[in-house]
Amino acid sequence: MKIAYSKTREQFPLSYKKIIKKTIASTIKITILLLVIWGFLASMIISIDPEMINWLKMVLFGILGPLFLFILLTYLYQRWYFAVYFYDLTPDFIQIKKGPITPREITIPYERVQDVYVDQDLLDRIFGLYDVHLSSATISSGMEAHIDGLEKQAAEGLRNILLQTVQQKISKNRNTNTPTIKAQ
Amino acid sequence: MNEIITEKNYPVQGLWVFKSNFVSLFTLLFSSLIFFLAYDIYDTSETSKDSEAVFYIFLLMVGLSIIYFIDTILRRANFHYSIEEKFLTVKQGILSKQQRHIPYGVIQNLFIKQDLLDRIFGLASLTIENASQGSGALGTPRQQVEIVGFFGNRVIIPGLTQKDAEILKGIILQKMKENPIDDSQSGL
Repeated sequence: MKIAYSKTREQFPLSYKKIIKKTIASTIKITILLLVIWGFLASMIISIDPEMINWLKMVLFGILGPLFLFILLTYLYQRWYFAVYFYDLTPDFIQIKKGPITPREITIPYERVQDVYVDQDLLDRIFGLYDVHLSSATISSGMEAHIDGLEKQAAEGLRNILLQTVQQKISKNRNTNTPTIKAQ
Repeated sequence: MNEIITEKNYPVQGLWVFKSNFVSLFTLLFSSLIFFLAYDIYDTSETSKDSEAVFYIFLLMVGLSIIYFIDTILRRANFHYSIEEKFLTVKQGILSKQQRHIPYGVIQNLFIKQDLLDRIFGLASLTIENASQGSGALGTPRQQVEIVGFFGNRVIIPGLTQKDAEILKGIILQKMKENPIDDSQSGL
């Protein structure tokens, strides 16, 4: 697994737990989906012919095989996704690129960052992971500009450096363009 | 870099016309195959009225696909962008012409993406967004065909080769760096 390292990713690395977390998340989703479909079909078939119960049990085992295949494929895909996940804080811009098959890359200037926030969903809480979101004033930046699956230390470091750089950039622009008023 | 960069330097590839119409062309090809296979069977039987109706539906599909295709060609031909000193100027419109000027300082983000077909054809699309909502928003764009040009808060330059997209991104980022705006919009 060759990881797309940048300076920022070396400093604030993604956690390997992210792969497991993502695999579990999609496994839960597909399992629920399969169970719902199975339950629906089962109740329909039983209402037609109660003798079919044994046959349904066999079908349940038939589902498990594909499920394991699905988990394996998801795991491999998530590993790949993890490996190509690229984020870098260059001197002037924030660059985030992800997606192994259909890559999406977003570049945001620091001056345009509207907010930085850190969140955790339920699985993140269990694994101790954090997502760092940052967005400019556009919808697509809200969708794309986030760095998911950092450990606590990395997440806080990244957030602090982001806030610090944004602050610096803004005040630098302000100082060069408008005269500062002296405090009393 | 005194020269003004336009779509002549980094063009929207002709291949993009096929790519953006790929789904409709593919459907057409597929359905025509089915149609001609079915037509043979229908022809020998005595349900000629049914087959006539199917034939008209098929004709309609062909017509629509051709219109979409020509529309895409014209859109591409009428799309011009130029990276001028202070503004990014974009022109579009087949019959009703639109022009838009974006100062580099207000660009919120650049977005490069490749979908599955882009990967196959080696293309990439570059989206430039600012925070405005009004300009160029003449209704919502068609969904099935990828658009070229601007609407709402974004300017989309699709069908660039991957290399061109990267270079163009670099040029625009450079311009953004050179032209910061006085008043920051950031809330932080």
